[in-house]
Amino acid sequence: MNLLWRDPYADMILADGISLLCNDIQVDPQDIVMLAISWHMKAATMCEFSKQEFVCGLQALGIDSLEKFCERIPFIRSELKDEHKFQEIYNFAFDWAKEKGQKSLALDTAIGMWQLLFAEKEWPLVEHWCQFLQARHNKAISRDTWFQLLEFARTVDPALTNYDAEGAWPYLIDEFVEYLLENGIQKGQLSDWTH
Amino acid sequence: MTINQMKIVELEEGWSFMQKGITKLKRILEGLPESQFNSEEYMMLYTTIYNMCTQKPPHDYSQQLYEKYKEAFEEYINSTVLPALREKHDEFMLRELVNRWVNHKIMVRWLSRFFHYLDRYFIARRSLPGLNEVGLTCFRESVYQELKVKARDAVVTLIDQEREGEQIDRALLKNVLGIFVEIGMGQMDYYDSDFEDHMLEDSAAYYSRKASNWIVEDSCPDYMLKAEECLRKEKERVGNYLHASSEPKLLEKVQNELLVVYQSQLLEKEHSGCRALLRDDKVDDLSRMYRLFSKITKGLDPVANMYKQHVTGEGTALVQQAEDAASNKAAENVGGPQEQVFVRKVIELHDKFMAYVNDCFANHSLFHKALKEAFEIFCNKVVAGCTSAELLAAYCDNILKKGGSEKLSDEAIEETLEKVVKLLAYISDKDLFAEFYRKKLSRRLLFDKSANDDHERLILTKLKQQCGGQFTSKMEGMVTDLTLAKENQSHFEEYLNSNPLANPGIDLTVTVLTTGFWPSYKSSDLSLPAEMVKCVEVFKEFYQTKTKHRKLTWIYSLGTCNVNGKFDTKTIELIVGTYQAAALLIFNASDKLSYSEIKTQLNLADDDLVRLLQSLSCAKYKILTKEPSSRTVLPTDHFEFNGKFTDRMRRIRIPLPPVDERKKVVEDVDKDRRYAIDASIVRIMKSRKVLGHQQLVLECVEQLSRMFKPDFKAIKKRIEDLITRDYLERDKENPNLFKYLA
Repeated sequence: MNLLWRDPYADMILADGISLLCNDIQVDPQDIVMLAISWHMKAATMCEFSKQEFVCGLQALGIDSLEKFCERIPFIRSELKDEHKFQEIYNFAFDWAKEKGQKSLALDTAIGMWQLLFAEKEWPLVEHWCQFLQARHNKAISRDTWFQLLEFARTVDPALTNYDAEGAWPYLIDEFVEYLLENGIQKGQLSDWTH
Repeated sequence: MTINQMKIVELEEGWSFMQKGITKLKRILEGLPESQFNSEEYMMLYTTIYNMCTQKPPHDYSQQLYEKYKEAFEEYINSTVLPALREKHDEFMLRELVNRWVNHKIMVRWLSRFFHYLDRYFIARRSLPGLNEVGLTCFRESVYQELKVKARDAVVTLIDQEREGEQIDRALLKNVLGIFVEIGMGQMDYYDSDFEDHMLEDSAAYYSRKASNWIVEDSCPDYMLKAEECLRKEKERVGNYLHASSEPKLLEKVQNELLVVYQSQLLEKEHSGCRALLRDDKVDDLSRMYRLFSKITKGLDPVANMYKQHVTGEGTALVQQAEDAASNKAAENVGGPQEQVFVRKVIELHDKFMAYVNDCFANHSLFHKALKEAFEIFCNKVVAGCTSAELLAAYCDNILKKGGSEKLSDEAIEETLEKVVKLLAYISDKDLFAEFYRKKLSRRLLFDKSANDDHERLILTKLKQQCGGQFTSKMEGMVTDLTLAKENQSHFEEYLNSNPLANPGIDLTVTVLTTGFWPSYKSSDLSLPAEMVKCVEVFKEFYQTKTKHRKLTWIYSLGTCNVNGKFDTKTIELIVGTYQAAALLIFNASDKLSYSEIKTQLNLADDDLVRLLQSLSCAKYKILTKEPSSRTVLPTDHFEFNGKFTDRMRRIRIPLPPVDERKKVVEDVDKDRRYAIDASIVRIMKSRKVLGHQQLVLECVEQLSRMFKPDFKAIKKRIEDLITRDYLERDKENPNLFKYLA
């Protein structure tokens, strides 16, 4: 059935194919569930599936028809609520989204991905984080920072009461904390979230 | 057999004989008229006991005699000794007690001789207490037990009287206390619990009362004088009449009441406490403070702490002074005399407070540590925009350069250098010092400004001793380079002499240096005038004859040229830099040139060109005239050789304003630090394989502390960089743990 979406010039599904696919399974291409599907496919690159990725992914998901695919979507969406699976999908997103051959993830892409991911798993500081990166950092994001940010979002409460400045947080996260303190953000607005 | 034939002695009969002897003994003890025992009497008494003990049962009276021996003492004590003691009080009672004890010991000695045969067989066989012991125990059980409290109180009262300055009979006290010791028959228990405990308690109460008054009335020095005097007297007291074992306990009690209890109140006294003593340089009082508090557990901690605060305060005041002086003279150049004054004052401060450590505080390590920590605090502050590392390097330069220290003797210079190197120990940015020092050293060496080669080597030796060989290896290389360069130059001159054809017609001196030792200099593509190009070629040829594989890089910015300026009135020798000389020489071909023409001909960057044209047309000596004439050089200006220029000197030096190299030095050091941190992290992780974040940071700081104090953020950045470069990875489970990836 993948023939339907296949690119006319390569043995894989590319951007056009993906928008057809989304249309058929009635999912917005910007929907985070597409990231979860890509994770199931073990897709190497954003916006494309190789034939092998697609076929193996469908098999693993037990999908052999469009109807089954549509039926599976709610299940795949529910997996995002599973903390462990979310972490795998989050970590997967880094390599998936970054330019091939680069070690780090372009800032714009990273911010887009974070907004998508942290809309799913709510983290009250995500907007501040993105603003901070644009104002102070403006460079690509390393894998380490990417991985550790989820850890930070999960373990440090938004009022920063259990943040340890002596800890091993990447320096970008330390600077983010300083930025929050400097701007008095964590006191004023954030106290609402902790209640 | 004679023994068997002897008449049996009955107990009644024998004992009444003994009674007579005992009565005589008592009369002697009471001082009544009585003759001494002669040997015959003594023999008779002994023999009576012997006989009564050696008769066959039931006539062996050993047991009865043993009891009667004891009863004899009891009877004497109850009938005579105790009544005599009971009617006396205080000192008189004490005297009586001493007498009675002496008498009792005599009585024991005599009676135990009379009854000696009991000791030998009866007592030994039955393991009973010996005669001497029984005798002494009698006294202890009745006299001592009854009178010990009274005696103790009387003694303590006398001690307190002596403390108040009264004369007392010390010999009497010594004798009384002797009883407390001897009564234990080898054990100190009686002295300890019946006398000493109470005496200590009383002493504590006594000094507690005293101290509570003194601490209010007296100044800290007066209080310490009194405390020291009290302690001395108490020690004397032990020597005079107390048992030696009391000394540590008594002194501990007194120290506790006088010093421990009031320590903070005493040290904190506003107008005379430790801070005031430090402020007013009261060396004697501070020494006394040290002596007193050194005997107390942790007693020196607060003193050392205040000392540290005081030194920090003094040092911070110097920083502030320098800061104020600098802001008043903001226009003055960095490294000017203000900063020299600052370093000199810091050295003086160090001398002064090191003397305190040595003289007042007996070289105690706690105070060395306090001094070190205090200096580390203010020596690492930024003074008027400069780090102390830079100031120290500038200070050294001032001493070592020509004209910097002519008034000082060799010894004085050596001493000062020694002190500067000591101060360096307090500075965490040692690498920054090294870099500034190298900059200054290179100027001294290359421009022949060093006053004395021996001093240069001396300070390097001292630096090497303190900071290690790695620290000075480049500097030593520089000094050696210069010696080699001089040799090289004389070879070059020989070469020119033997190859007259090669001679470029200009005197040329080349200083060949090893790139790695020296600070990095910008090498530019200045287009040299043809005359100079020839020089360079000639030297290259010569150098090739000596070595094949070395690359020569010419640093024209460091060159100096002597150029003859043929002005209208006279010829003047101009001493200029190579850039300036190159610019002047192009005016040989044309009288007037535009800025851009000069730029094209010299192939120089704008900033260099502006600087050199400024020095030739806008400064003190106007060798070129500029159109329009103004104080700054613009790319639209035109320049002309000023033939009318003249000066009363035949030779003038036209300096090129120096570029501020500070930023570059700091940048270089920063870059080196990144490498150093990387290397250190990799070294640590290579040996440890897996390590927690904090441990890694600590070890890294520790490893690098000899050169600089890396800040935590910098280390973090380097760790992350190493993760990106796959030297390290974070543990998947524990993000605080790093693993080394071989």
